[in-house]
Amino acid sequence: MTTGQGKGQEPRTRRARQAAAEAARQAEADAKKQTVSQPNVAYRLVSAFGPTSILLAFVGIAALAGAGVTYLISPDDLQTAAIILASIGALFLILFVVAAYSQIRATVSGRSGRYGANTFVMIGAFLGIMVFVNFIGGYNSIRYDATANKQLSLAPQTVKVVEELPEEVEIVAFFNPDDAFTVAQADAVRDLLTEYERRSEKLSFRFVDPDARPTVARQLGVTTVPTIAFATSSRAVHVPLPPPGTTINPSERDFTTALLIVTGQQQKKVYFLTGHGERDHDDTTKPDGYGIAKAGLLSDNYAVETLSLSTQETPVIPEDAAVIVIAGPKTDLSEAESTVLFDYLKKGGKIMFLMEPNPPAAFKELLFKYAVGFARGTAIDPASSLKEDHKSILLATGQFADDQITEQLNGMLLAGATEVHRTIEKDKATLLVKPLIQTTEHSWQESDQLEEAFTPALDKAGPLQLAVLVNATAPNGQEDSPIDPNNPTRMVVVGDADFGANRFYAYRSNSDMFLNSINWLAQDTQLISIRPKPVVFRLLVVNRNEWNVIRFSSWLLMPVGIAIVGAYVWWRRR
Amino acid sequence: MADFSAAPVRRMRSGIFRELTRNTIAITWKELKAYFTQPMAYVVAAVFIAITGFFFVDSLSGPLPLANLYGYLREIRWVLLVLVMGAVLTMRTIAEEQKLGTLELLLTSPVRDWEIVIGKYAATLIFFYSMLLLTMFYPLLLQIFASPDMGPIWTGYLGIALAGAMFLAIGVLASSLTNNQIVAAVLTLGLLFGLWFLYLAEGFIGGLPGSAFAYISPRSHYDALVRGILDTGSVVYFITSTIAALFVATRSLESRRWR
Repeated sequence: MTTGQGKGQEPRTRRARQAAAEAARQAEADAKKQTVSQPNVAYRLVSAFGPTSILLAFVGIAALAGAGVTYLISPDDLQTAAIILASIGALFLILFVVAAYSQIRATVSGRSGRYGANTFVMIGAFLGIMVFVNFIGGYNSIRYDATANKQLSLAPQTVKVVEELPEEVEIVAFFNPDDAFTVAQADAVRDLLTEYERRSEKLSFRFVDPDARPTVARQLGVTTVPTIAFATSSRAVHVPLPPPGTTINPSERDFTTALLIVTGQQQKKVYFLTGHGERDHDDTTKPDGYGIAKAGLLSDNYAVETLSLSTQETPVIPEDAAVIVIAGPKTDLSEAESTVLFDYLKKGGKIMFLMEPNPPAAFKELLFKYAVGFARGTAIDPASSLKEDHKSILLATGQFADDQITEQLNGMLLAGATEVHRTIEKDKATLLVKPLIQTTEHSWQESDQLEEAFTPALDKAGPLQLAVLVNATAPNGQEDSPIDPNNPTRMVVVGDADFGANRFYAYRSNSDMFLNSINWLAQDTQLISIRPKPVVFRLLVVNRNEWNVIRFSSWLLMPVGIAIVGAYVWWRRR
Repeated sequence: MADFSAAPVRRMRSGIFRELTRNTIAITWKELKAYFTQPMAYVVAAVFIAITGFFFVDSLSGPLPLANLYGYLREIRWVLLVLVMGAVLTMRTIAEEQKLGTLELLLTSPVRDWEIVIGKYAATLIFFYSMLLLTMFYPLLLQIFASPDMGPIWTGYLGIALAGAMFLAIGVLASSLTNNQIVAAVLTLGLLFGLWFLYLAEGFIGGLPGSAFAYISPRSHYDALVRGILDTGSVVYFITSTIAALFVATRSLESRRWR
């Protein structure tokens, strides 16, 4: 308050200025009094209830909180401890209530108590409504994949598999959140599993840290992380994830395959024929072995056995043989073996023939009965082969047939292959022979092992078929007595046995060709590989000047601009 | 003949709306003027943009940089920056009023508690979104020099906008609980950190509680948006969390009348 002056005028006398300064200091002190006069919450609690009661309440609440944490973290191992802690906490809270009953009653029934209770009830009710809204919103949410090539959406095949699950499946993702790569991988897995879970009520997933919950990992037989375990009430299938340094994105194909396997009704058996120099399916070390291919079959939930017809007095093919694999035989079948294999085929048998150039005669005769023939020699394709070896043929996307076995393959290597063709001009009602793999038009079947030059009189010009499938209800020429078309004779004949061997199994789609063929033969078409979505890498490719523009504009342009505006504002205020 | 036109009803409805929002808008406008007329706000904005610029360039510094913002927006340092910014921008909203003694004046004036909270929150949110708008310079650079997939970029920015709104609401709540700005900032950071890393509990807590903790954490919702998945459930999560925090802040403010 000023004196001796009009409204809005500065005090002129020294006494007036001193009075104004004193009034301002008094106003500030009054304001401070108002702000500091309120005691803090702890002081008020202690003065209301007494230190002993507060201590009882604190110990009770701490014990209950400890019991809750103990139970949540280790429900199995420390359940007793959690119960004891909870009991102690409840006891102390009862003691608190008894000791401070009158103060509690006065507080609750007082003005602050009533208003406080009302506030808590309102907050609790509101939060309950928010939880309910989230529950409804989460349950009925709509997810839209905003990526350009729908990278994060499920393939139609996967959707079909998930929607038709015959039983409940729990998916447990085991992760140690130790490093940025694993965390990013876990997030990608969570996104994918969320898409799966949304499609079926029979599917659920959860994340588990195996170090914190080792019993869960033991129950599901998980020994390495990160691993995704797909489990039903009777079995579990594990899907390991890409190692660090590769891609964080999990494979939809692997997840869907795991679902199919874990809900499979029956484990089918694949028999490898032996006794004729075939590749060893138990050998994972030698380049020619088929041990890795066997591992692929096991991961597709097939059982793998050996079929040794040559050692049996009366060769018999087991009733439970879903598929027989003949991998690169070098010697002939005996007459009895040929007969039993032909009988097996005629009754709807399924065989995969992996034949090297110039296969043994008995096998050629057997296949001839189903209109499959071989040309003499080895296929050569200078236009699509390894640089130093034209007999090692490289196959690209356009060289595969539009068939469920091959349509999703994106490349193969056949090292030393022979042409496989059908011997009939066109398919019959009881016999279909369909080419699967074809070389380029620059290829030919070289009949002379020592030469690599096309000789029109001796060599067969390309394009050459290197693999065919056979779907038949009767052998060629025996159309009068076809078998049940629901269980036809099926064969896949490939003019090379090396593509599935240990050395080349992992090359491009070689493994897919092998496994897809087995799946088709065993009529497990759902297991046929789901084509992974093409990952489009949009790179930032800039020259030095452009990079400098990016760098310096990001570092300096806007910060300096904002600073200039700020300086202008400061100058105007002055 | 009596006039039964709808015009008086429309005027009444717009009048109610204007009545309901007049104070809120006035408080928001006052707070915004305080922000944009003080040099300190520009210092905060310049530092924020400089740091984000550094992060952006650093995310493109590898041998084969991808033309997207996934690595940039997903990195923990970006999230921490937004968390800290949330605490810094909101710490003075209500705590300072109480410290200066002007809160009592505000509470005794004909202004509702929720109008105070919403008004201050809205101003902070607008300031934050202004800074966020400036960071759209980076996807613009990507568009000029590459062909980025814009879908995940848009959903990523939606994620930041929603997460930022939630963080600021929690900051306003913390500010309403104390009269000390530093305490408010620390409380905000504690709450946000706790919420963000709550997802880790799922790994060692099984069943429904574990899933609940993972859902409560904003991390999985934010990450899905950054990756390019627009999930209405995540949008509902952020909006309801924001509303809940503002509601509790309003109740906290109201409690000063009877405490």
